[in-house]
Amino acid sequence: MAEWKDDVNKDGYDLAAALFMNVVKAVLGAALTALFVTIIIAILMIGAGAAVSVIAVAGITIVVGVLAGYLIDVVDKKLGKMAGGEENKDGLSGVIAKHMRENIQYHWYYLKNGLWWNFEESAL
Amino acid sequence: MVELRGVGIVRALDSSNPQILRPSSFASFSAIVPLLCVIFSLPLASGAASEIAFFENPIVVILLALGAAFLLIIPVPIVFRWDWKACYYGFSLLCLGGISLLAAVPLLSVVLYGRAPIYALLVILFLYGISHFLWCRKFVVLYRGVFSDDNLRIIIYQEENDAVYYMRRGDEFLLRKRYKFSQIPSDWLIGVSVGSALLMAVDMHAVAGFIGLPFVHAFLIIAMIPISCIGAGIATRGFLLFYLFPAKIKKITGKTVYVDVVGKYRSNNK
Repeated sequence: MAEWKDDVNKDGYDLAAALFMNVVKAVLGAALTALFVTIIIAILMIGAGAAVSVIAVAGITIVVGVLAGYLIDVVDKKLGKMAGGEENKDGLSGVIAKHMRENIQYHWYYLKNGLWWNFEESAL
Repeated sequence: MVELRGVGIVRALDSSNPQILRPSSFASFSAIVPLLCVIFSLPLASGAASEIAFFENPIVVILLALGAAFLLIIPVPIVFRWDWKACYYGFSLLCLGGISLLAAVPLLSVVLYGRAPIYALLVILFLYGISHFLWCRKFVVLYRGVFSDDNLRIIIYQEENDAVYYMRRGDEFLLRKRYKFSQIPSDWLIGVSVGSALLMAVDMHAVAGFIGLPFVHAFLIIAMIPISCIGAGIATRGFLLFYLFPAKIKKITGKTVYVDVVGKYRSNNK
């Protein structure tokens, strides 16, 4: 989102792609955090027989959540550079926005150029 | 009671102990923790020195070697059908020590690639050293006392004709009832540590500039102190109970130590 706000050349496709990637990253981050915290707490409680307080679970969750967010962000940036070239600084959202722009604009202009409207008018 | 090769008659631990804790599966499950810690640490190591190529970063190389080792270890307990020997059971607790990697990698990054002043580095290293030493020492002092006292040792290690059994319920009785000992650092310590790390986010650019690394490294160095202590403490306990003392028992009695999770412990006071 920050990169979308900072660059006046960004358009609605960039915003839509950034929002989509943010949702995907949030879901992945939450899943990864839940998985890791569950494994740690399971071993602590079942394996070591330790009593783990709510504060400890919260502390571990916050730390793992930050780590998961950082990991996913780094992976997103790397994949973005692999798929969109070294000049792509927006991660995968930059690649998705480019595809959306090409595909949606192509179909929109196809309609706008009258191919479909002509068919409708001729059908009437 | 079942016959084991070369051991004689031992308790039917497979039918009495919960299957979920059988080392053949639980140890493999536990080995996922250090592997995940390596995966989580890799971006921290590479992000600390983005000007160095990924595979030329020494921290990354060490992490990759560790990751490969843990990846190879995961199927070992399943393939070799680890039974209830203490050394197999203790592996799960040692794996929890891997959590400390999440503190060690940011610390190493700050030392190798950061621009933090030397006094700040010394304070951080001193904090880590003293907190981990004192926390692990608590486990060592407690269990050394238990092991050297015949009346207490029998509660944890029960000797029979065929083998010696680590009685988990006896261990839990000593920790919870007799010593009232928590294996997790106190809530206020966790709250202060994670809370301070979160508070630093208010001026994250200044903090990142101070240590010369991304803010996430500074966050982890502060927030991970008690969480790293948890991993180090549990690993120390695992080493003492399932490796050091069983080795001493084996030397004295010649008997192998097995883990009895649900059996009732004996006590000389009864």
